[in-house]
Amino acid sequence: MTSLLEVTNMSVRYPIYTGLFGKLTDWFTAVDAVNFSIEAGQCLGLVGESGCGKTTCSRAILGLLPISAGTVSSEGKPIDFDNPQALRDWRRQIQIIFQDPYSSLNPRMNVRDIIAEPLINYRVGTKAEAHKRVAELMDRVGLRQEHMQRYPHEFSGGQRQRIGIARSLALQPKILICDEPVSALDVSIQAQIINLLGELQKDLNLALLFISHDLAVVHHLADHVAVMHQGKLVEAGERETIFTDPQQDYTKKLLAAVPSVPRQ
Amino acid sequence: MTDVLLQVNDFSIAYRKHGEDLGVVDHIDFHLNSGESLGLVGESGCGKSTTALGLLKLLPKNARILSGSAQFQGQDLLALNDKSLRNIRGRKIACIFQDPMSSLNPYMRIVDQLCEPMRLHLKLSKEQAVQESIKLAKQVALPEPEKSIIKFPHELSGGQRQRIMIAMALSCKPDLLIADEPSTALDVTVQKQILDLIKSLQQEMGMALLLITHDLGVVHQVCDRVAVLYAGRIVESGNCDSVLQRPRHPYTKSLMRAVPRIDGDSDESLAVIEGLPPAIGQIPQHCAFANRCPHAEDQCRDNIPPLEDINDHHQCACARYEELEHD
Repeated sequence: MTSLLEVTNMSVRYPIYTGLFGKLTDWFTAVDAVNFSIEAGQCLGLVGESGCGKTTCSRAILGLLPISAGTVSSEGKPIDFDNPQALRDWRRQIQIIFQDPYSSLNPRMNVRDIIAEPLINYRVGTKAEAHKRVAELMDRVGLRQEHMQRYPHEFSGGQRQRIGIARSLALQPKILICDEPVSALDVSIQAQIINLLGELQKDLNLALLFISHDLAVVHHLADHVAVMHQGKLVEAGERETIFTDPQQDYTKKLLAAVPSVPRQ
Repeated sequence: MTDVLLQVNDFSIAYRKHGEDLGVVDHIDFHLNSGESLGLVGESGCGKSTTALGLLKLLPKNARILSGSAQFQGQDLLALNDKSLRNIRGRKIACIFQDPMSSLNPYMRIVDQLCEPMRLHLKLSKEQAVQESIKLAKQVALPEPEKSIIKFPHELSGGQRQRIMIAMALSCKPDLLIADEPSTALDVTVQKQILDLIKSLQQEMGMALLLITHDLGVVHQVCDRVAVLYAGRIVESGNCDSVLQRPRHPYTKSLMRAVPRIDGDSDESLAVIEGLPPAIGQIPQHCAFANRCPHAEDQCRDNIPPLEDINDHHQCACARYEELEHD
């Protein structure tokens, strides 16, 4: 079986400019020869501390940042990021949910327009069909259809994150990247969103790349876990193996640092 | 040693908006003994930071203290004028805030910022203050203390900056340290180091700690006692072990079940608290959790349940906590 998303030896480097004339002096390797793959209906949790390259990784996969080396492929075919048409087709299959539900929704658009935007962009269906699809999506993510005309500021953080999820599902993608989708939310709201993502992944058979610094959340959702440190994958494997029998010192340190809540 | 250091009674705060008072903190009572650590936990908007800032009258201009008293070493903090408060802030009661970058002055060297409170409150000479700063930097385990303290804030990492904030807070040996989400902006491994540091320094110096956080795990790691806030009221309080292992209020119970755990059964979906907390200024005149509570009955919507003693070390504000004990 070929993977829906396969990342092979991917590196991303940022240029470092110094001096008055911004001379290119060096490169900073943010992602260093990373390998992983995700099958349909599976969730890979990518964990690590801030600055380790998790987000850079997700952006490179989407083609939002240039890849310096390696390939990203889907179902055995490498993605040609330099070909605009190929990139457009790729982005129809892969969507992203961002961390901050405040800055990732346009404050001047109402919810219907926000959720319908991908459909309009890809010229899917008529206006009436788009309207119907938006209503379906709002139902699916637990938003009330009556609120279609409202603007983002009228919603709470958790509801905004639901809007972001509905938008990401509009084009029926096969792969969903979640970049810290719950870290801006309160505990009781966080649980609602985690459960929703879990359900959606099962029902729609999505391949999920779940990026988080919170090991407990990753433990809850992911089938496989990859631990990143300073741009490199230090350990990857099945969830239970990583959590119960970590091999690398860094993974052990990370697990030991999680503040635990006693059992009732 | 159980002398009461801080006794807060009937404390209420409201924000004024469009000529209306929106209640944020609603008649809360709590106390803190010398040398003890109390965790104030709750979700965003529940009034935990407002409570802490209100104690030192550091609230924004549109906030008003409606009622209450805060007895601290024989003085009512809320009745003091600005001049007397200045002698308490930083000296008797010190604060650490969430974001160390915005709490440090980017134009001043670390050493000058560390010296400031000691020169002001303890009237040390410049040389003495610099010597003390180096000692403090060592105490908070800053790497290469002599070199680090002549740097500017932007040259240090987030964890190092938070260490500086702790050093600054401890410089005048306060009796009470208020820490408002001190580890929230930090990575897990750094968070653990900072919490361990705060805890060990607190025990070493015998000062009291008021820790404000949204994270029950952090409270469990650091605090002796905990008070759970919901919509501006304390719904449950008591010894940390007792409250977290045997929570009695339906809100605390559901909150504990909603936390994902690294040793939990991950195939089960998390327990969810349906609905949303009441909006700011709309705290109902009955149990604030009644609208989301699975066990709410008519009596829950009649009046505000008082914080009752379950035993000496555990209080709960729920009309039905006895019936629901084994739920």
